[in-house]
Amino acid sequence: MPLSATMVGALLGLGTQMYSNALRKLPYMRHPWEHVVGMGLGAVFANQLVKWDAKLKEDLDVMLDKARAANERRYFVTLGILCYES
Amino acid sequence: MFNLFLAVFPEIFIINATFILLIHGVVFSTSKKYDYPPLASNVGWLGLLSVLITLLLLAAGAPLLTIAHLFWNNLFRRDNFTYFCQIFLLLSTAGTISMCFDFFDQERFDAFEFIVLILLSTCGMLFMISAYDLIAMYLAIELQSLCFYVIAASKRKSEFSTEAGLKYLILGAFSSGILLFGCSMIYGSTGATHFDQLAKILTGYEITGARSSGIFMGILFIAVGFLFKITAVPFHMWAPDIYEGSPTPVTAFLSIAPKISIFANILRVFIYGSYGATLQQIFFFCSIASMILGALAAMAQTKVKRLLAYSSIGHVGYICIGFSCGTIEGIQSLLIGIFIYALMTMDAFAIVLALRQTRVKYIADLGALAKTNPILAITFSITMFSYAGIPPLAGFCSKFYLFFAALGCGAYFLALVGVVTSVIGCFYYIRLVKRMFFDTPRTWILYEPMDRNKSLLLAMTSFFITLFLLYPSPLFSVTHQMALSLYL
Repeated sequence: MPLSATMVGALLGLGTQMYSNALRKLPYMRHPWEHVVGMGLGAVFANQLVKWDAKLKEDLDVMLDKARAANERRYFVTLGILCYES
Repeated sequence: MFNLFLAVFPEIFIINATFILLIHGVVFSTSKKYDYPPLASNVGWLGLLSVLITLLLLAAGAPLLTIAHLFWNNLFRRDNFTYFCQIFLLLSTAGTISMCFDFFDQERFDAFEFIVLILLSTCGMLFMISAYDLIAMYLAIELQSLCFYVIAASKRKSEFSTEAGLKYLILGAFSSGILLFGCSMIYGSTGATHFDQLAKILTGYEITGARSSGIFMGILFIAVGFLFKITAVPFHMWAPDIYEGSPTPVTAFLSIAPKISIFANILRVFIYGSYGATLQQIFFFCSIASMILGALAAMAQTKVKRLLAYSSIGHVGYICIGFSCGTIEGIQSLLIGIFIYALMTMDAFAIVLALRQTRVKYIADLGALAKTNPILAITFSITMFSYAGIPPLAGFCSKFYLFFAALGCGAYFLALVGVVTSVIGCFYYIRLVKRMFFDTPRTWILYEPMDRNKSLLLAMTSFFITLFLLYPSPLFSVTHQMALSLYL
């Protein structure tokens, strides 16, 4: 998984730099060191994005569990107290 | 543990950076020793750096947990919603500033105050997003709006720009007055300005027998004030003239940044503070009217900037669908819609700025762009197809989710109007593509090369628009969290 994220990110970075050169009507591989920088930044970005996505999913599950627990406390506990009193 | 200084450090940093840049600009631009240098680009780069540092400070301090904090006498709130909206706003500001540098050179624009005002309005918008009280909200709105009135008129030698600034000032002041009047009516009827207190008083007020004409009018006036600011129909009249008359980077900034902050504010005030049948009906009507007018009026346009202005009005209508639903899915679709809309608009205006050098003002001037610069024509086509909502581009995904949210809450008519107006909108978006690929221009134009900032921005946004559907999970997760944070 990290390998595919790195590869996809590197491709994206390379593609971005080549697209940028193409928009300026320059040769696609002009200043090839910029393409290397783009590939590096792309790989870092893709890896961080995948890690962030995993963390987001975990935190979302925590939030949804908290919301579910709050609703259950509000409705089931109240219902329980009402039944007991009656 | 909540550390107040660390939480507000991004705002403190950007305010200090703004004032330091202002002093730097004033001292050096009036310096005889340095031969009165034009400082617009210099201050622009420093301003861009300030925005990126603020973004890093915010992102580094953003907790990915569910804890919300109130601070400064409970006037402001920090939670997931605030953090991600502010990060998104700063990204949009950075993108807009990066488009400006070539404009400064081409137009001999040497007013460094332009960047200072953009940074100051960004500060206002950051406070607007975290505002949790009617007074704090209004002050932040005014800080943002006053800067916009000035930058709309920043091209001092152009009558169009001056006219745009004056129109924006008068109409903006009018809408701010209406908003403040609504706030005062709410305060007069309830005695509260804090959103938590308003939520307790106003939730379900229509069915609990606590109806009050003061509350009703207050909510109505606040809604009208906000609808003015987001250019929703029937309060949209100012938008096309001001978008056309203002300098193009200003138009780009006006189309993107205030919509993020004002929608964030609308969600706080209305979804959390007060949501009922009255408000839902108002936004229902405005959403339908904006979609219809945006689709029909844009068909008659001959100028590129006016067409983008009406397109923006139409998109506000689509985004208001999410608000009209009043559900978590609706809010999530609204946030996804704003994010994708902002990126598409940045792309579109970067292309307009790139073409501006070749004096493209009318749609007819786009003729034969596919022959002179085919890659730029393809990029513009991708943007237009995305605006039209054609799969598999990002614009399709945002509209799809908005319409599904409408169907999920039973607003079938809203979804139907959205689909029909999307089809009508395809006409004028694809007309631009037809002009570029199949028509010849009125006069032949020489190609002038684009600068690196715009080309990189275009490349990144175009890749996002094209490839979003392959990996939409992070945006969906973050917007879901943001929507839940409003309620928890």
